[in-house]
Amino acid sequence: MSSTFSEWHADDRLIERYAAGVLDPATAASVEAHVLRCRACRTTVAGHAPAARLALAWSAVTERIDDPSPGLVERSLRRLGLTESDARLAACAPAMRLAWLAALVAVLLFCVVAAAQGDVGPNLFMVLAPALPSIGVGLAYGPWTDGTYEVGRAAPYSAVRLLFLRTAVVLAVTFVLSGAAGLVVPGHRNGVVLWLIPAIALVTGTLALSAWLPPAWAASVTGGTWLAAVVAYWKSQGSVDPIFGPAGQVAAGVVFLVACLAIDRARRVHAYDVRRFL
Amino acid sequence: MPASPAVSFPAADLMETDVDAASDAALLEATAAGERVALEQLYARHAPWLLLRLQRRCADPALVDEVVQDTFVAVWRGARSYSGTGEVAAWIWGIGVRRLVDALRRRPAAALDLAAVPEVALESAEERVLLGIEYGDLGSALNHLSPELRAVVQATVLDGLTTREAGRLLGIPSGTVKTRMMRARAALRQELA
Repeated sequence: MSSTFSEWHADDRLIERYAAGVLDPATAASVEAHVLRCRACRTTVAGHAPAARLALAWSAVTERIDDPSPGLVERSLRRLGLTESDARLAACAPAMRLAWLAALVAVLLFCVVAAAQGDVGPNLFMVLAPALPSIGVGLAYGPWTDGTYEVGRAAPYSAVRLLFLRTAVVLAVTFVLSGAAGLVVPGHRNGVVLWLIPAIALVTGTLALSAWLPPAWAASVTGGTWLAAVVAYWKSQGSVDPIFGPAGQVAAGVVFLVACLAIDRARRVHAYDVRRFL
Repeated sequence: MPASPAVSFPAADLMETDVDAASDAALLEATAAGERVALEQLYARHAPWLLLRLQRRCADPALVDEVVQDTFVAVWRGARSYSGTGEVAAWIWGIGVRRLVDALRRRPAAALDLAAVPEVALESAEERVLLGIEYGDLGSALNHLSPELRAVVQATVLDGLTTREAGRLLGIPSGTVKTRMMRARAALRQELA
């Protein structure tokens, strides 16, 4: 409208050349500076803008403002560099659901409280902490717990990618919570980290088995085997600590490597089609 | 103001004529209150120049369209944060150019193609006079800068970006932005002396 720079207005031909991108930089900058302050010239500019593209962008804007705004988790994941769809999928993973988190916290709290009563607590923690991530991975997929199950079946989205994405979320959540619990469980100076390699080995094993079994079953197999074996050891020896010694850690590392090889082979041999179990 | 051909205005709570006559600041206030028509009118007024201006800074039309979208979604969600002083257009540009910087950071391959910046075109006598009103000899001095130096001047001085943001927009480290700005200043000083 009125500007301190008199009644100067960019004429139609100048704007046309600006819109076409053939104006020299200084004049273009001059037009841009003027357009910010002049409604009349903005109208002239509008006449030379690609109307179809603008209409398309507007319908996209209305679509997006009709959408519920993404939650805190989804926005943080977006900030970490995930695409919009990945962030949405990860954020609605059961690991992010309050009930699941509450159950996880309850289990860990139980261990911490029991730890104060004697040596059952520390042992229990070391039995459960490595198994929790695999159980989470098993639950992250399937009709009972996955809120996006129906949508996911029809979506043109790699089922393996979804499985791995959910696994990453579950790992992040359980590692933080179990790590925090490990800090307060007495009796294990290294309790915070000793369960990490076994936990990773169990999760990788679950992913590898998911090539042949539904993820929930795969998690039951790995988690069940672990719990049965470790509890049996605990009963006979009175403590699970030796399992987490150097030999145990190396064994867990071997399991991890074998599982990685199995996943790689499964991907190459039969495309690792997780979806066929759903 | 004649309506832009890009968008039609379905009248909701506000009458079409009210929306047409409303000032940008009033429209922004209505947008903050959740009036969809107000945002639509702001879009009709400001999206065209925003798109063209962004287009001069990014060679990828799909990315530009996305940034225009992002900007108006941000206007819808953040209309309340407008201080109430200053040009609404300048406020929108501030959002838009930063969205462009963010988008380019996620997809650095699409950064400004310096080769696509047109070389100095001969302007008519009329344009030379028009140019003289706003920039004087600075205009021709600016045109004589190398594309690399000019891009830095444009991003920092004219687009109002910080050194870091300008670096992201142009795909160069911020240290390089600083040295190029120094060289541009020296060149302009010499040209204008």
